[in-house]
Parts: sequence; structure tokens; C-alpha cells
Amino acid sequence: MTTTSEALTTKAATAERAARYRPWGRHALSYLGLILAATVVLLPIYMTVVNALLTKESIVSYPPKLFPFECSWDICSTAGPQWGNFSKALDQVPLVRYMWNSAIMTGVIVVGQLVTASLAAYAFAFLRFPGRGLLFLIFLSTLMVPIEVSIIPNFQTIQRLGWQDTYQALTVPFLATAFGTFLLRQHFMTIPKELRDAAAIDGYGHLRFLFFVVLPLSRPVLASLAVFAFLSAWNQYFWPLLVTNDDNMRTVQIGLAALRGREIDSFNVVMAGTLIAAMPMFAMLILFQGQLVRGLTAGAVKR
Amino acid sequence: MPRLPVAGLLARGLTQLKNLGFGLLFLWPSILLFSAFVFYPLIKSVYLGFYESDPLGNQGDFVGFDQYRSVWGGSDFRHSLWITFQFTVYTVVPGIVLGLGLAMLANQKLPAISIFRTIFASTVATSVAVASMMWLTLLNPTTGLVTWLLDQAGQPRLNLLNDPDWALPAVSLTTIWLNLGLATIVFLAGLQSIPERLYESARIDGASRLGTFLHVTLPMLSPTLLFVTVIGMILAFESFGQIHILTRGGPLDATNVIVYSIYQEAFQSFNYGVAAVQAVGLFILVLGLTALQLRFLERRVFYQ
Amino acid sequence: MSRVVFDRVTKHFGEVVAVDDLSLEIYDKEFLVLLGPSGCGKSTALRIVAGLEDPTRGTIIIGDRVVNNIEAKNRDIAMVFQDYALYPHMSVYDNMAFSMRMRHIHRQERHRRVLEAAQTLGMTDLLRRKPAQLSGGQRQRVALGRAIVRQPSVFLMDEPLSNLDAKLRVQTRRELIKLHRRLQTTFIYVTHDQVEAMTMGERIAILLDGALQQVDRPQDVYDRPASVFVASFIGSPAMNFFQAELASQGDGLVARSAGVEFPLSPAQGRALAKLPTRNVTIGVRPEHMLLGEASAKTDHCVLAVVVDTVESLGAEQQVTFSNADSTIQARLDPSPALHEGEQVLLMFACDHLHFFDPETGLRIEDK
Repeated sequence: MTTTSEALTTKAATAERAARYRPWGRHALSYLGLILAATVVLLPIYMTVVNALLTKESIVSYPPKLFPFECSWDICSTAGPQWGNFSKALDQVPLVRYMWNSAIMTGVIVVGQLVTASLAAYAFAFLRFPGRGLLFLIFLSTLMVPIEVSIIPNFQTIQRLGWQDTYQALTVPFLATAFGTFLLRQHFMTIPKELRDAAAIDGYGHLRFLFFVVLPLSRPVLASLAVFAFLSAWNQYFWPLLVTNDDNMRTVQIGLAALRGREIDSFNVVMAGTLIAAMPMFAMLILFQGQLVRGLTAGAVKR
Repeated sequence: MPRLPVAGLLARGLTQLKNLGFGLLFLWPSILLFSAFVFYPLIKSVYLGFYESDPLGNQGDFVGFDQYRSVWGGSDFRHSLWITFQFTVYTVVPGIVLGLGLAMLANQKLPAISIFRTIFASTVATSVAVASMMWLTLLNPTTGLVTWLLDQAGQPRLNLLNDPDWALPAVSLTTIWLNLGLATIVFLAGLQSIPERLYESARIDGASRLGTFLHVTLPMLSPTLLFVTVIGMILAFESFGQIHILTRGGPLDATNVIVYSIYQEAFQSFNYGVAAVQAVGLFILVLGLTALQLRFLERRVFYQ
Repeated sequence: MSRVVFDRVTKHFGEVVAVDDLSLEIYDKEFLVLLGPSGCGKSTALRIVAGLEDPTRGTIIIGDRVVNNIEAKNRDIAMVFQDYALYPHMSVYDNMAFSMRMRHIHRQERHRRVLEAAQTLGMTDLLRRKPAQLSGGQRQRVALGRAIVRQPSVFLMDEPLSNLDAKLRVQTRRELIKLHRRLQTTFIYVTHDQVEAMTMGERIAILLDGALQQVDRPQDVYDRPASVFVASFIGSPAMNFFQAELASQGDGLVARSAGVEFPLSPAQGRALAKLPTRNVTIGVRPEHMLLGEASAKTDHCVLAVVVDTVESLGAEQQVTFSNADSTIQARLDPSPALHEGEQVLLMFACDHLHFFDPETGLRIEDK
């Protein structure tokens, strides 16, 4: 049984029609703002791509060229896109070697941080020992020490060990991470105590519990930490600058910066090289955006 | 029966010892690494400041606090501080405004919004080196887009990176762009943690868009704002790469922030003593500023 | 004038139809309850009135205006959310004063209204506190207070009692009824709890899958449920249903279901004869069942049943019986106390029979 209401008025009919058009107008404005902002944000990347595809002549022209294609306007290149610049970059600069060095350095650091952070977080989350709280605070305090204060003595240490231009120098100082320990500990503490008790009854010691229960349950956090560590390690600049002099040992960041002083064809090749160097990180971003965001918003201080 | 209590104590002591053993077993790699590469250097830096360095970089005479006094009191240090302070303001404030703006744009419920979110966050994938090289193009005095834009706006053909008046703003601009992705990601996460109900409530209560922003969004974002401000300040104080690539601290020390000054003293002039003093000064400064910010701003931050 | 009218309102969320051609008029100053199971569209319907959702089709009228294109803030409504939605960083006072601040109402007037509402709700001592420092019941009162100070034409409430514990819920129910009487304003109240609906509503509108099943006074919904769904939703334990077949007997009809014969009055017989098939669904409420004697009166139906489980509640016993292939629930006097496995006779008056079309589930009127 339903009760009926008043008859539809013409007012209602026009209201219905208006409601259909209203969202459209509002959305158009929002998209305009979004596209504008996206253009501004992407501008440097776009210009780098354009420059990488220009000819030697086009790249020194003014006003700057905006399109790497041939056309009749001033903002177009004098020739088509110069895809050859990329191979020229690879030929004239040992980019592959640089990327390889970066890859090794980053890989070792990521694995190392995962291991040390897992072990340390396990200790802080599951083991009860005297001084645990104080030790954790001391760990966190390392986040407050800026890189400059430690960099000079660390450099001297490396010199004394004779580790200049070695992978050890690039990786060993960064194998421990307070941020990673903090992040993992937070997560480990959410693992229910009952699981631990059940594992103890089943005869699992600490290491087996860590390896077979805790870590599998922590995959998302471990992934976030890995992505975050990858990002930090790959992008390092100051330290690799100091400990590498041999061109063979340079990481991609230092090698890229050194392009300025090299005898290269011209700036368009440099830009092509820059793009090649930037590729891995952009791939990371697109593939692992979720993990990355989670790692960055963990709310702790990390440099 | 006097044996039993002793046995109990012994048992407990042994358990504690066993736990301590396990603890150290899991912690020794981290402890070793932190001791060697964080705590030892901290103390060593303070120690280095007590000694002059000879031109070859070897440790020279002991001068005690004199070096500290002369460096911290010197005009060079004050100049670096001033440049660093300017740089921090130029990068942190616009960074927050733009990051929040982009995050708000990206927080709308529109189809294909995730593409825009990825775009706005994309600069987090650019390293300092990559970003600096990209901006080298834009700031190029002969063919840079920024140069050209300023030309249209009435500033003819500036050589931005070589102009003492424009170098710092140019480097700041690069840094803002570099950190934009991170700021957007953090602010977006903050915005998304605000319950939708509050906005609906404000809608019914008659708040305008500005009113909602001021009375709902900002207060609920205050922890995120504090985080971004503190992190932004720390990042600004440690900026090195972009200065090394773009301006090498010049022209005429216009971009000679403290970190770069430390680099020059230590690794180009081999004046480890002076550099160490500057580094310790930087440390105390960052610590102090962070503590101040947390103290004063935290009162205005609302936590749930 | 603060009546609310749904005029053929439909709401689609993509493929899902949340509200299906709803037409309903809520009278001025009425306390109307929108009742239904989760997902039936009652909250969506409420949000459409509030202006938080736009209907896909149809019109909403508040008072004498069509409000489809009017912003939520201008519809002169106030809403109390299930989770209260208080501004956590503002004090209780500021929470209540917020909407008035947004409308630039003078400070004195704001103060006056907040104090008045606080007094009505008995929370003048809470004004300086923040929501985090309040209990669930107190937060709920703040949410109410926030709505009251707006002096709206219509109060919209979305399951406001769900987050309270049972005792507080009963107490707050009564306070809400008193509040309604005092404020003399239209209340539209959404809930899935039929007890709340029955005790608070002047009328109840029952929704299922977005469509209106019935709207009537509580007693009418109880006495004459419009469909099998309504009949089973109202009343606890739920109504017992039997699938029966009509057969001629003597001058009239009887309905037969496994093990029992329902004698039908002439009026009932006439109504049922109009059915296209001989099948009918018969409903009897558990509270209308009695322990029977073999020598029952002719206008009573008698069933032979076996006791399955007995739940004694002091003032009554709720017994589940089994009979052939069906289970029957009854609410009986506490004595004689029954035991599992006992074989007894159940009887109920034929007046208490409800008839439904087995195809459509709709009620067949028998008067």
C-alpha cells in the first residue's frame, strides 16, 4: 500500500532537466584546473624530452623550441625527432656502467636494510630485555643527526680503510636504517600475541617465527620499505660524490652531473642521457605507486 | 628453606640474560653500523673542531674552543646562515601552498583522477641530479623556457644561474619542483584521512567552500602541516645536490648554503677543522629549530 | 509548513537501484520512521531529502517548494548522523554554534540558542569539552543539540541510536519522543530496528530494495501487514507461515496445510475464492498461539506438534515446535512449563490468520 502525492508540476519537470546538466559544467571546470596543473608540473620533464629529440642547431635557438617535430612555426624543430641522440648518449657516456653501479649499490642497500630492519624490529617488538625502551629511543635519535655532521669522519673512515672507489664504501654506511626499524616495528606490534604463543607451542624458535610467520604477514610493509629504500639509495648524491673518483665506479647520479664537464656533442645528447638515467625511477613510480605512498606517509622523519 | 628464593632470583636473572642475549643477537648489525657511522662521527666531528687542519688536510694544532668561536662568530658563517634561511623560506612556504593545492585538486572524486594523482606525485621519482639537469635546460640563459618567459614579462635575457640576484630564487624553484611530489603525496594522504561525514555536516551547516576549508580541512590537516613544515625545513637545511650541479655555491656566494660551505671547506680546501665546526653548528641549529617548531606549533595542532 | 514529499524518486548508483520509484508524503510535524533491513535504501532516501545526494529521477518537496536544485544548507533541514560527525577540534559549544556562525547570526543570538538547546538536553556542563572527552551518549546529545539550534523545519536522523548500548538506547528513545513533542517539528527517522520504529513512529514507512512496502500507523502495520516481508519484519519472534491449499468443505472453504486444517469464515472464504490458484500463504503470529485442548471451538485451528526447544523468559516461554515438515514458534504463558519432546496441541483463533498471495507475497484482504 502506498500513499500518493501531489501531481507533478511543470516546476518539477524543469528541475529534473536542470539536474541533468548541472554536474557537467562543474566537472569541466575541475578538469581544466587539473590539466593546467598537470601541464605546469610536467613542464620540466616535457622540455627535457623535447630537447633530447632536437638537433644541435634547434637546441640553441631562441625562443626555445616546444615541439620536436618539423612544422612551419617557430616553435618547431628544424628536423624530425632525433632518436639517435639516445644511442649517442649511451656511446659517449658510460651510462650503462653508471646504471650498473647504481643498481648494485641500491640492491645491496635495499637488501641490507630489509635484513637489519627486520632483525632489529623483531627484537624491539617481540623480545623483552632490559634497556629495550632506551635502546629504541637511541635508534630513533639517529634520525636527528644530519648527514653533514657524520660525513667528514665517515669519509676519513673510508680513507683509512682504503675503500675509495669500492662498492663497500657506497653501501656499508647505509645498511642500517632507523626509519625502517621504526616502520617494521609498528607493523610487527600488530601481530597478535596468540600467534606467537601458538608458534612457541609448536616449537618455533625466534628465527623460525620471524622467517616463517612474521615476515610473510608483513609483505606490504616490507614492500613499502623496499621501495622507499630503493628511492633513497638510487637518488643519493653527496656521499657517492665523495667516495668515487674513478669514472668506472660512478653512480648514475654523479655520472649524470659530470656530463656538464665532459666533451659531449651538445646539450641535446646530455638531455637524452638525463632521460635514460631517469627511466628506472619513473618505472618504479608507475609500478609501485601504492607501496611508495605507504612508505612515505608512515609519518617518521627520514633523510 | 633458604635455597628456594635464591633459585628463583637466579632463574629470573638467567631468563633476563637469555633475553638480552637474543636481543643483542638481533640487534648487533644495526648497533654496530650506527655506532660506526652515526655516533662515532658525531663525536669525531666535535673533536675535529678542536683542531686546526694544515693545508694538506692533516690534523694540526689543538686550539680548543677558539676555532668554534672564530667560525661561528665569523661573517662567512653568518652569510651562509642567512642564505640558508632565505633558501628555507623560499622552498618550504611555496612548497606547502603548492603541495596542498595540488593535493586538493587531486582529491576530487572524478573519473580518471588517478592519472592526475600519479602526475602530481611524479617528481618524487626524480632524483636531485635528474631534476637539476632538467632545470638546467629551463634556466639556460640562451634557450631556456624560464628565461624566455621572464623575457616576455619584462626581464630581458637574464642569465639566471649566474646572476647574484636571481641564482637563489632559481635554485629554490628547482627545489620546490623537486619536492612537490612528496608534498602532494603527504597532503593527499592527510586529506583522505578526513572523514567524509564532516564535510557533509559542514555542507548542511551552511559553510561556504572557504568556510569549510578554514574550519574543517585546515584544523584536521594540522598534524600533516606540522610534519611537512618540519621535514621541509630539515630537507632545506640539507640541500646539496642541486646547488652543486646548478651554481656551485655561487655566483659570489649567493647560493652558498651551509651544507655547500661545509663541502667546500672540507673537500676542496681540506680545512676539516673549520668544516667540522660548521657541521656541528648546523646540527645544533637543526635540532634547535625542530624542537622550537614542535614546541610552539604543536600546541595548535589538533590530534585525534 | 514542513511537510516532506517524495514524488516518484529514484536513485541509481551505476547499476544498483538504491531507491525505486518512491512516492511518500510525510505530514507537517509528523514523526515518521523509515524502516527496513540494511541496503533497503532508507539512508539514501534520507540523504536525498537532505541534499547530500541528487535523485536520478523524481522530485523532493519540502514545505511547498521543490528543493531538487536547492543546496543542502538552504533547505532548512538539520541532520543527525549515525556516527554523530562532530567537529573533533571544536568544543561542544563551538560545534553547536558552528552553523549559526556560518550564517553570520549575531553572537548573542548564537549564545542564547546554544544555551537553550543545552538546557533542553541537560548538558550545560559539557559545553567547554571536546568530543574526544565525551561518552557515546553525550556525543549523541551534542549531535542533537547541533540540529536543534538550527531551528529547522525538518529533522533528519540516520540511525542515531545504533552506536549506543542497549540501556542508553531505551532511555534516549523516550527522550527523543519527548523532544519531538516539545519541538513540534517534522522528524524523519531512519532505523533498521523495528522496536524503535514501533515505539517512536507516528507512522512507519517500510522499505525493501528501495521500494516502499507499506506506510501506516504502527498498530496498523502490525495488525494488517501489506506483504509477507512486512509481516515477517515486524514482530519478534517472526510470524509463522504455512503454505496451504484451498479445498471445499461443506458450504465453505478450508485451507489445508500439512497436518492442519484452517477453517475459514464465510468472509475469508469469499476473499480467497478470488485467487487464481488454490494455493495460499497463511501467517499466524507466535503471540496469538495458545496451548490447546482437543475439544476446541470451531473457529479455532488446532495443530498437533512436538516441542523442539523451550526458552523460558520468566514472564513467558518462547517455544519452538516441529510439526511434520515445518517449525512453528509460539509465545506462551510460563505455565505449564513445556519440555523437549512433549507432544501438545497448539491452537489459535481464525481471526488471527493473515492471508498472502504465494506468488506476489501481498496481503489478501479478508474484510
